Amino acid sequence: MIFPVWELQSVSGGFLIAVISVIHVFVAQFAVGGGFFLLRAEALAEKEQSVPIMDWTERHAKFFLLLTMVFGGLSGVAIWVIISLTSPAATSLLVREFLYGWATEWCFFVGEIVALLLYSAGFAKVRSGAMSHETHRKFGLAYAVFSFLSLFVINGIVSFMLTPGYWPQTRNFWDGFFNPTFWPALVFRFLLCLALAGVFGMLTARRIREADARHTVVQRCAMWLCLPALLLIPAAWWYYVSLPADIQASILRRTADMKPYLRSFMDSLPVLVLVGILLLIRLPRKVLTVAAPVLVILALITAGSFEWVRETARRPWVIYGYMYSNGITKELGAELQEKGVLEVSGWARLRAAGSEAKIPVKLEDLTSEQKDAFAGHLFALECSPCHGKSGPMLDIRKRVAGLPPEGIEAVISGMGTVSPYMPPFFGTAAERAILADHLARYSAAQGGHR
Amino acid sequence: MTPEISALIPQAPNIPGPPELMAVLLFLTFVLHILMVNAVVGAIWIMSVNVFRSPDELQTGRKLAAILPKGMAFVVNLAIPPLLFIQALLGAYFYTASTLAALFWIAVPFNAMLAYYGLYIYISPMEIGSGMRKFVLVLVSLLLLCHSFLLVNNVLLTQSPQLWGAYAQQAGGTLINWADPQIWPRWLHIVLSCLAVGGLSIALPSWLKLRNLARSDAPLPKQQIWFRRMQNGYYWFIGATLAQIPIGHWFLYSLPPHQLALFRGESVLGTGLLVVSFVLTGGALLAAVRRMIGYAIGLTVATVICMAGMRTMLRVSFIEPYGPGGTFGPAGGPIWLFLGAALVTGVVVYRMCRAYRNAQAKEAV
Repeated sequence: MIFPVWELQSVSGGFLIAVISVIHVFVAQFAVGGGFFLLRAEALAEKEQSVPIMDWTERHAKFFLLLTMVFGGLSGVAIWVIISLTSPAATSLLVREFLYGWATEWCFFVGEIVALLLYSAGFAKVRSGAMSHETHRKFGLAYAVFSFLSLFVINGIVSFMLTPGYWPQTRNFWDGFFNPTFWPALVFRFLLCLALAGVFGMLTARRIREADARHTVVQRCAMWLCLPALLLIPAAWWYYVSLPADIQASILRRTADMKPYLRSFMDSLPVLVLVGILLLIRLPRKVLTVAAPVLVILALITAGSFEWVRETARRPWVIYGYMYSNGITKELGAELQEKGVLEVSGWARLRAAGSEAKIPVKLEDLTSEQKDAFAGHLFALECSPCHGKSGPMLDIRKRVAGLPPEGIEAVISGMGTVSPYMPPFFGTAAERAILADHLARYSAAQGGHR
Repeated sequence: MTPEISALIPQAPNIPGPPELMAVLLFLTFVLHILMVNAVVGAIWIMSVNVFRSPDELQTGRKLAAILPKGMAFVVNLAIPPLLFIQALLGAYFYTASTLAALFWIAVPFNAMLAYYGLYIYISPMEIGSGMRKFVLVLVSLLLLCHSFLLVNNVLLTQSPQLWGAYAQQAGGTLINWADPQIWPRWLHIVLSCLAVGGLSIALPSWLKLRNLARSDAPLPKQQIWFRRMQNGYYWFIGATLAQIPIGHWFLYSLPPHQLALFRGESVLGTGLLVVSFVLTGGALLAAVRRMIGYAIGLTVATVICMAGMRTMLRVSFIEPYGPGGTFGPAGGPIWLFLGAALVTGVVVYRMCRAYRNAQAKEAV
């Protein structure tokens, strides 16, 4: 099935997805670990009979609510919107195949919201004596369990995209859901969630005025960061060895879209642990004021790099072995190569025509202006999910700069074979030539930007 | 339908479940969502007008507004299932429409996020000055007004494949369906619905507060503030509902002849729903005039359900000539996962709410 393509004039769809999803996933993972963290923080305040720690727990719960429920919730919707705009075929497939999985996740999301609102409002009730600590902790526990279940469901769907397992053969929900990397991904993500809870705890704990209480809380936060972060190393290894050999090779490839991000993940994780260990020592408040935000940025780099590596490892697929990153399935790809994009896609014909009045059906009927419009559509359909016509990510101008149309055509021909992390070009030889010519002229108009 | 248009409609295979099941799930969750939207968004709009009318509104009105961010959480949450089920049932149409208006559609969640944070700023105890506070509330209202228009645009594009040809010239996701005669009356109809239900969502808590103050023999001036607020809520409900008479008719007569006929005798269900809606609206108005809050709310909820039914009929009628946009298979075992999760979540949520209510009652004593 072919949808219209959002013809972005500068940045790629992949860039928009990357920006929104990295930040969302970062906050959403904090939302999972933070529930367990709040439970332990409240228990610590009770055990130590500490009013400052309890006050901090309440403040942290409010911060947690504002960040995870508002930003986390709506940026989650934003991801859904952006993937449906830049990759509608893949989104449609994920919605259809996992419809009741998504619906289940929504149920848990309802539970999370109610539990978190009541937990946050419950502090005042506990203070006034109208609610017992035990009841209040039950709200916190309900939140933690619901958020973990939410992670459990979404992990099944996200890991499916990388390793669909037997699903392409059976088309069975459970085969896709409990795919080969379901468990390692779940363990890895859950450990990351717990570590992030420690990182964000530090951000609010630095504001505790009483020095002893502050030190106690910061120490606990550092332990929450360090222990899971150390366990992330074997978990990452387990995740890696659970991947099929070709994906492993893809991760280790030394291309510009992978190497810096793998490096960044492998470098930032130990630094994160080291800073965490340093924070176990009693440090002045001024140092904490600087260290806590730095830690958040470091954690964002670690989590963001991991997400980037996972997404890039899948290339050229969006659903491994089934659907390419431009939303074209193997089956549709074969049809496009045989008949051509113009014949198969009504949207391409419409775009080439430039009006509804006279829709051309053959490439030979196109005027030079129509050919250019059609080539722009081909670029948007097949290339723009990863490449922008400018912008910060995989700028196509750099890839074609200085090349004549024949050279660009040769590059396009090598996609899928010479460049195995790119999907093959889907279309006829004549369509490929039109695209190459369009890119050469675009590059020349941009001054052969390199 | 021209062959060019039929060639544009993507076909989705293996939609998991019969279309009737999808339609029922979509309808039920949409009703919950729209009721919450009307109550919360309408109340925000009314408050943003009231802050300029009454000097005490900014202070005491904020107490009432404190619940709005929580309401907003459920507005967002309850948007998810209808969005999910419409993607499953009519993904071929919905994704296409969203792509045609992509630039606006991508703004929707960010717009909502800004409005959501704006509400928290409005109710916060921070010293930000009354002028700034008013500005924030008005900004939130404008964002939501803009939001409602974008949603109407998307709905109209979803059910109007005959307009998709505009993609020939507008592939950058900038399509707004200006030419459709439904766009303005449909949007105004929605805005007025929000204002009417929002009026009730102000009248109800004001009435509850007033009752508690009266029982505790609170000073009369304090009671009067809440009495005025309750009255204000009723006035908005009555005014917006009366304004719905011309706007509703404008919307009805902006429909193409085939769809208009559904509500003018051609379809028993469509005509019946329209007549019942009129009767229920009249009853709700009468209840509001007599200050019978329970009846006013009950009859309004029933009206919204009928309206949602009519909306569903319209959508089906618009899309019918273009086909279902996919093939439907069995729901299979995973549906039990969803139903089980809904049941467990429902039980836990009920128990948590009960425990919290008990604490509230204990605190009141």
